[in-house]
Amino acid sequence: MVRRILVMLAVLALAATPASAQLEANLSALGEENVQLYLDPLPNSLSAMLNAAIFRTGDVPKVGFNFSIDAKGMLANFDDDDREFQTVASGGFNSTTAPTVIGNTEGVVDDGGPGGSSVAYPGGFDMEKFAVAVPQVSIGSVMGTRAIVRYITLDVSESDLGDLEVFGVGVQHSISQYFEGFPVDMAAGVMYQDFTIGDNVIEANTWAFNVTGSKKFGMTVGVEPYVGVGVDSFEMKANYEDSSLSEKVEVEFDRQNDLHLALGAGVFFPVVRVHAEYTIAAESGFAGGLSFGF
Amino acid sequence: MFRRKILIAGLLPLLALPLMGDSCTEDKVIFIAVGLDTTAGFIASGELNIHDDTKTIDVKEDMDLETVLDDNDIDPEDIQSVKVSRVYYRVTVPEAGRSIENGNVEILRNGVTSSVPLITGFSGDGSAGTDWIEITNLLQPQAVNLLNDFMQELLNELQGGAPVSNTLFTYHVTGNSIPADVPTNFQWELKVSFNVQAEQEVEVPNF
Repeated sequence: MVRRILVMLAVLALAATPASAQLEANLSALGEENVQLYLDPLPNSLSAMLNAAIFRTGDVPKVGFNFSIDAKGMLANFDDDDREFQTVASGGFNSTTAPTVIGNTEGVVDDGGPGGSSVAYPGGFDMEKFAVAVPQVSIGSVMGTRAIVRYITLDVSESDLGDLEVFGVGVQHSISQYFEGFPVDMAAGVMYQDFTIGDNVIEANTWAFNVTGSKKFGMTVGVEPYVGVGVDSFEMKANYEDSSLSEKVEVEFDRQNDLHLALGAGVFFPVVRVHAEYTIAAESGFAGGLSFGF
Repeated sequence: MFRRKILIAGLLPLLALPLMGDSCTEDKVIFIAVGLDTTAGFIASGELNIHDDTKTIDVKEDMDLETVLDDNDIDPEDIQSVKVSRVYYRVTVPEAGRSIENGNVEILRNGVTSSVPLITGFSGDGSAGTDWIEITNLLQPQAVNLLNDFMQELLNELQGGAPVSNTLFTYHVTGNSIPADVPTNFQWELKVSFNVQAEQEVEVPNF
């Protein structure tokens, strides 16, 4: 049962990681400069998804034991512009239009190279949407501070998918505790996450810096709208073997920093809470979570 | 009471998460391209003015197409073609001040073809070790056809056809070695890379 649940979580998460073995194969013949362009849609999406729905309230009790387990998910749409890229001309081959990792499954073959040589650009995985889901545990409070941990590691090779790992750790600290009669609950948070696909084919890490304000309506049952504002800082690397050169290659993407705005609301009952939000960040999309705790 | 709360908080997600559904993937046929290569090493030792060397390689053994396909989970039946893609060289043992000008590389398939030009008008600096440097722009069509035909035979064999014979290829390299009248002592390698073009069914997410 637990394994089935983990696999289902991974299947959602692996929207970011379609068939990692095939992904590495696709990278292997592209050449370093084209790998960067082929994977170009990923950093924005991964950044937005990993940093969504971390903080769902500004209410951090000053003291006392509180604990919750969440299942967090986010869905983002890709733009049509993300589906193709212009290859870098090299070695006598002209530049051409080829699919990115999320683009059309049909690749492009150019047989017009020097002496009749041929270069092939692989197809994409034809994805219009992108999702990630991870479990998250929150525990507090000490001096108005709670700790947050995300972790999942899975080998779902039976479904042709490689290993996936997400690890995150963060804290959220109450700001409103310092102000008597503050009209909303407000907390500042910071979260660090590592994300890997396959045998480190894709490696990413991200920092989220956030301030969340929320207001509870109701005691044991009620709603809690919230607003989060922050900055996401995301860095990604691709590691693969260039099969034309039989060499290991590491392609680094520039670290990117994006403003992050979340508008959401939670509905809470004893033990159970559901929350949903719309996030405007590197990519915009919906996120939500189901949590259990007290 | 406290332990009971912990237990409830821990177990309820396990009951709820299956609602997230398990039917969000689908099989898609994706065009993939994988590279493989064969490399020949050349040694210039004591030559004066002209660098002239030959090297014979068992290209089938050197490329090991079967292992490459295994490593990438590619069924030979799914392969559309294997074609010459790019050519590179690198200096492995440099000689200070040495360079090669107007170099040519010919190739023949032993027992099957005569020599045909592979690379013409090649110039390279041998004074320092290098990474792979691409010289695809100097590739010649006769050699591309020769190698492509051989790759097709290899592919036919993997797809159940007749075993390929005559898998040895001989490279012959010549070029002006500069500076003149000074014994040449350096080593370099030539790599020909190929593109395996195939279609493969993979499982991808579908929302």
